[in-house]
Amino acid sequence: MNVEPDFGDTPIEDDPTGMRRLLAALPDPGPMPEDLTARILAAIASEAAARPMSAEPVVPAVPRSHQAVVTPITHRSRHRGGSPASLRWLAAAAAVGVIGAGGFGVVRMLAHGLSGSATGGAALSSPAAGKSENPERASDTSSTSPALGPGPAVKMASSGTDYTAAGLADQAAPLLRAEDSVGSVGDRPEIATPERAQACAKALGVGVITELRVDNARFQGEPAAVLLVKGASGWQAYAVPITCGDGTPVTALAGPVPVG
Amino acid sequence: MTPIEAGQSASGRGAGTAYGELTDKELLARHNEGDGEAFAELFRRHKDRMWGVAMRTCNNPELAADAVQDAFISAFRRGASYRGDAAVTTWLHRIVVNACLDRIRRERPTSELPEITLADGSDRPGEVETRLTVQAALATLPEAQRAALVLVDMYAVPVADAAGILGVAEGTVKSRCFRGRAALAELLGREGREPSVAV
Repeated sequence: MNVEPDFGDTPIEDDPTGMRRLLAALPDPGPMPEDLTARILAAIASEAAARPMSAEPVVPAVPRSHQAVVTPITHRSRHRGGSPASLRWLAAAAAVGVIGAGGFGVVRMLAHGLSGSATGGAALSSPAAGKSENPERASDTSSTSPALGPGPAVKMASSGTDYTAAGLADQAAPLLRAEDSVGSVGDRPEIATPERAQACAKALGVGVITELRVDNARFQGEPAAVLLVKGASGWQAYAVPITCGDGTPVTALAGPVPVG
Repeated sequence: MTPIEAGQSASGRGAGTAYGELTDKELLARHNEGDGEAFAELFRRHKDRMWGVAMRTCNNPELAADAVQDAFISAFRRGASYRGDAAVTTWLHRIVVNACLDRIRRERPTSELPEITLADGSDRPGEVETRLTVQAALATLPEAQRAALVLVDMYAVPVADAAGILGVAEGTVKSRCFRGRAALAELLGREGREPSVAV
């Protein structure tokens, strides 16, 4: 039997051999090699993708600095004219769970996508980028209401792009960076609300995602939509029928393809 | 930075990002709730430290790489096993050290021990008398002693925390350290003498 001798109250620093100091002086092995880091991140992403979808979507983390200025959009009318426009848009970003820096720019994209109507559908037939939008009208759009409940942050656009299967990734990439809507207005969109976009993503079975962007546009000449979903493995793009998210089974027209 | 921190770590912390502002415990809680990004942040935050522990425990880059990957995947899958009674880093250390010891034991039957040329023990001040590096000598120690020395002497992990990591009593940690130091000193021909040469 291997019995460890009892060193009682001997302080651990008590080291007549000098080995403790020698060991402490050894050079640090340095940071984890980048290839190993990438390998482990990929393994983590695979594990995450293989996990069963949460029963309730996980609300993505919001920077604490943004949480401090959260103002529910449904209550925004009470503050109309009281807060600076920039803070109202920051609140809108926080209310829909926008992550990270650039939230102000992202919210402008949201405003352009949804302004003009409280019904949601016509709201997406929005003017092209560059035309000023009335944030007050956008603020009344019910589709941006936090009453959506928990779910990935959703950003909508109508770029008018005619996507192709081969060019899907490259054509979708600008949507990740655009602060405003890109291009011209497409046909009357069907995936017109964040709820519909979330339902579409769920119907596709994409797993746990933290951000979702929808571009109501065309695919190979026909009205369609492109979904960009952000999950553990980064951004993926799907081309989907305009019926996606209406409760009927859906098959992607193209994708998923990694983007960005 | 203290060796074991219960709260946030500055290592790899994403300034201004949402996940960078969360504590380790918050990240692990979010991971257990299904947040696909939370564990990746935890990994980025502590990867360098765990890599260092693995390298020093395994003394072999390939072995260390496999062990640390095993460890993080194991931690990912066992996130729900974290009970919150210790720091998340303590929990991670435990998983990494165990993964290293597992890999070492699996490799032992076929692995080659580092070539060892023992010092002849003669006193030759001013000259490099030790042809055996400290790291190589450490690699010859029993895993239990090696793991204790890596944590306590190399990373200044408090004995109590090391005991939690290794899953043994504090007295056991201390005895492994004292015995390991004595064994090292003997290997390096420095028993009873202060080290006088570079390693």
